[in-house]
Amino acid sequence: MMAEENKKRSLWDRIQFCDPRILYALFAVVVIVFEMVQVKMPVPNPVWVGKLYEKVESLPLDKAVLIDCDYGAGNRGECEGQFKAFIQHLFARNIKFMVVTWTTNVEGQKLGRQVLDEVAKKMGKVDGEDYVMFQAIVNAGGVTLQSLAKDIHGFVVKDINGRDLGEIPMMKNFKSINDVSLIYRVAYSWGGIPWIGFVQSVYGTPLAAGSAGIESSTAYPYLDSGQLCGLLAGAAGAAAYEKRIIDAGITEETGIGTKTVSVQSFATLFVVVSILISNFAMFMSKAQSRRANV
Amino acid sequence: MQKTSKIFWLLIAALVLILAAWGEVKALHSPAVTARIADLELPGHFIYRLQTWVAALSCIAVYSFLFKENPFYRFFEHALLGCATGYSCAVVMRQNLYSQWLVPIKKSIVNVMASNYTREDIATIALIFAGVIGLLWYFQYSKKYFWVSRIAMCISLGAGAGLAFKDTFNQLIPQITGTFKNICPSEYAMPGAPLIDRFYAGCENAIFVIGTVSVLMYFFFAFGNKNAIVKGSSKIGRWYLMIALGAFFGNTFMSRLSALIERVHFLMAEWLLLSQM
Amino acid sequence: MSKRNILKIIAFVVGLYFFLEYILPEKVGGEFDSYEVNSPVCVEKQGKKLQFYVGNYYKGRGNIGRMVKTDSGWKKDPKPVLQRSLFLRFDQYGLAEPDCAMTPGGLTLLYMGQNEKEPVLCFAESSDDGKTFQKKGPAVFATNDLFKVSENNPNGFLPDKIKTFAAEYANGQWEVFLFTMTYRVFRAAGPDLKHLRLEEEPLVGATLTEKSPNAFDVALEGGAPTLFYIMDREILKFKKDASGQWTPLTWKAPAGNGSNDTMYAGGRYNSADGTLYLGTRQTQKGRPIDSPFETTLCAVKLRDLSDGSPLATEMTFYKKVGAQPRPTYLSYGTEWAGKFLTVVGSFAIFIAMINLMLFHGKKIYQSALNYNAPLGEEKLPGGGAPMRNFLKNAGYSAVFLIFLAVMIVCALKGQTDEAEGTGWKTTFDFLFNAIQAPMGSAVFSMITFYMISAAYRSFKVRSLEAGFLMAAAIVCMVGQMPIGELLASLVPESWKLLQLPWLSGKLLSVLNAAAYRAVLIGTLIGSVAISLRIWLGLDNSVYSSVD
Repeated sequence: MMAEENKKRSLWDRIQFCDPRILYALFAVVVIVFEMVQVKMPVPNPVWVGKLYEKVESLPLDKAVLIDCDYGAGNRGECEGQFKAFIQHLFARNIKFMVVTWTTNVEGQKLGRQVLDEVAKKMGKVDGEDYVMFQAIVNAGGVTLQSLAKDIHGFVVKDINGRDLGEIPMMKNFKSINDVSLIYRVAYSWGGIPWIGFVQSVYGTPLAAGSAGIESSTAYPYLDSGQLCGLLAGAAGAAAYEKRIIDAGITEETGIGTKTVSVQSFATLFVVVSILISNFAMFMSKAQSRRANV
Repeated sequence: MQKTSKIFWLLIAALVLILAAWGEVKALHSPAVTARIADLELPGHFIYRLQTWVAALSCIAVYSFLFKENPFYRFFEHALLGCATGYSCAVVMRQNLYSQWLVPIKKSIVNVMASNYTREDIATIALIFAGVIGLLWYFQYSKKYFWVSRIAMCISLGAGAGLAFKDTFNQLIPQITGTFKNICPSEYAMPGAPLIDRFYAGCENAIFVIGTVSVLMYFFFAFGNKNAIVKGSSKIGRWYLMIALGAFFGNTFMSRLSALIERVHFLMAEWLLLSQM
Repeated sequence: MSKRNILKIIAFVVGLYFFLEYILPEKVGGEFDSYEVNSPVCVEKQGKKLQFYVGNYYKGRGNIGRMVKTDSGWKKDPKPVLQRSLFLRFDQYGLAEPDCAMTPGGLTLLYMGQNEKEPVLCFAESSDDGKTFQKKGPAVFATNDLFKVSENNPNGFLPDKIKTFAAEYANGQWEVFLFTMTYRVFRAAGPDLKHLRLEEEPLVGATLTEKSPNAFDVALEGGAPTLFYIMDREILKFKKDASGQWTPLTWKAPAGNGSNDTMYAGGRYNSADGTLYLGTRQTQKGRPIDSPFETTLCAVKLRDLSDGSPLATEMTFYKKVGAQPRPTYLSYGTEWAGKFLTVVGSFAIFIAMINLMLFHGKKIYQSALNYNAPLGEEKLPGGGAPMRNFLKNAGYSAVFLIFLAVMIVCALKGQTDEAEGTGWKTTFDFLFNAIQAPMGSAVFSMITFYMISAAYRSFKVRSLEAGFLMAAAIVCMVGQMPIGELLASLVPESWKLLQLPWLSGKLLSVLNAAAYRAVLIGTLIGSVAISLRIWLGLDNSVYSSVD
């Protein structure tokens, strides 16, 4: 009976309403093939990536950068590349940085630490002298940021290895938000922690964001008003930043962002073509039924 | 048909196993694998490959849900839930309650006993009260004293409500002032720019201002839509929202796709060693 | 009083504290220079000595104060004579490094205006001994007769960015010396400060010091400029010798400097009395202390010995920071309140774990009861072998509890430095890298497939608006990808509108940003309304289970 019903449906209807598993299979094939055959393509160059890069280039050496590492396993494909490229740039410029993590997303601490240790080892940087990762902080909203901004040592107390912040050589010079030249938040949602409301607007510390593609479109009003000074949006943002640091000679390794966008291009093309085919099939099906009615 | 489908899946599984076995042979002599083990600071090759296999199986378990819910998927799902919950709780116990609360209180009590204390020590000891309030959360499990747990909740709510004003106004004011754009830039504003560039910049700013105002009008339900200006601008606002939603969909799709590509990269490069790490 | 009202009062009081802490300032009272004093400049008019200096109320926002020399010392005007502008952008962030000169019209004060971009050299004029000033905007320089300015070049098109400056006025002519970011010094002259002609060749072409000076001044002695570079603890005086080289004469900080903990900050040389008026700053281990009370103004008398070598003597400290503001004690509690709320929040996190444990534990318990229950009296559905039913009903719960327990123990023991190389750390890393991280990623990515099938089936262009939505999505997706860049390279530059990356950028930064801004404004106003309802206890949904 199913076969008879299928016969009655026209070709265009069958195309429009095909079994989704066919789509899954074709899509999987596209992704797998282009993963194996990495095609070198020109990396996009968004404006806000360039602005962040120039901002980091102009940062003073006597202040630190505060990185809010809040990405999870779900957005590793986008945020890990952003985080890695950013810290490589900071290391190359000998700018010290502190990494803040949250208990609401403990994966960020673990994943961030893995990347940090790997990059630090490769670039010869020392934990405690060139960078510090704090213990996780409970996210109680703006009040947490207020306390953190006023007194980092008193609020955070220890670093991830259990050492008192006062004993860490680097932290002797960085006690409050006044010693921070840039805050960089890398997370699924750049606005999840209210840095703008409680730190950027109160102390004037510049804020930049590296976020998943979903949330990046909500950042543009803040970029326009100057509350955000730079944005790395998704894997494309990571790839663009990686390209800049490769061009600057900081590293020769192709990052995960670049590898991802190459495959993403073709997968996106597949989806666009399939949507267009579906719409074309819809129009043809309508035309056919109109002709049949006539 | 069912038999054909079963054979098909068995063939796929056999192919994957053959590739995986071949990957294991390659991994024994792969410098990329050696470098990866060193990067992750793992104790040896066996642990790394075991970790990779379990990770690959867990990914396949998740993707198997696309076809049908199955025990394989449910096993890993519950394992994930256990790991995630356990990790969060362990971090809070060690890094918050112990390091950031108990240890400073202990230090302050020692200072007070030694009569060598400051005002900050007294303030730190006063944080014991925070623990008392925190424990009130667990009155949720009592039917009779359930309302006591609401005290902790009300404190958090009150703080959130009080702080919301600061957050909102600090975000809102620059957004409003930023909407007032120069729709007719002069040579002073854009020195050296030809007239056509200044015209385009003015158009861009005008589009921005019109967009913001019309979308605001679209959401304005306080008065009716009988007014022609309100009606017209809400229509324009809808167009802007369509475009914004389209961009949002595009970004959403790319975001999910990145996660999928990252997983495929892991399966192909680290597990099967069919592509570069 | 009912329990609900007690809870409402608690929420209100806590919210009131934070609301007042936002509304009220951190400190009240105090003088305009209570945080810092720096960069004095002294000028004499008809035997009356006037001094202008930078006074900060808080870090980085300098205003200019005035002092008059009296028999009992320097008497300060209570209010600043020149303040930063809120609406004119050149000195929105404060004023710094003033220099002063007497002109036929009265007094002219030049200063570096701080703003979000580069500092701008501005000036203001006074006709009443400096009690009030009228700002005249930026000074304008040019290497030719076209004194052009722009938004990004308010001082004109200079060969280098200005770091600081010095100015002199004599015989109806202004002479301004610009010390640039590359440590070069340029000389400019003109009849007024809006028409200063820059010499093409710099006065000092290469850097004379390794480090940038804390202050810079110029004295014209017989028309020839003498440069003063004020370093951390010494004063360098440069004069051009016969061969045209700048030769330094160095004054070490005089014995009255106190200790190595005092360093020089900004200031100016007064040729009339041969005295250098400087700000000083306390340091700790070589770094300036960043807090009030640590800055003062001092006067250092300079003279040459009979053999021409320099000597700096009589360092007199004459001005400290002004009276301190009183703190509103609300701000004292902010840090403590933050710690309080984070501890309260920490305890709440365990509720999720407890709830899950109770749920799964109950399942195991009931399954265990079922296991031994006689036939027909099972509490859970299912027949057949008891072990299979037990596993089916409670097996997964057992998996959850086992992994929970193992992860808690391994995470507690495996995250310290001492755990390096131990089994705890290896197990913890294994659980995280083999189960938690990959599965988290896989679950997130699974939705891609559903999105593809949903987009294929439902993303149909049935109206013009849907068409716009689809077009925007496609442009946004393809434009941000390398494929978009590749396609853009095929489109000529004159057809930029068809280049997808450009189009996608404009779509996101103009159209999308405009729409989201409006949504954001609405959301933020809505959140204020809801917060107000909760704070004032008007929202009863929060207290639904309490009478």
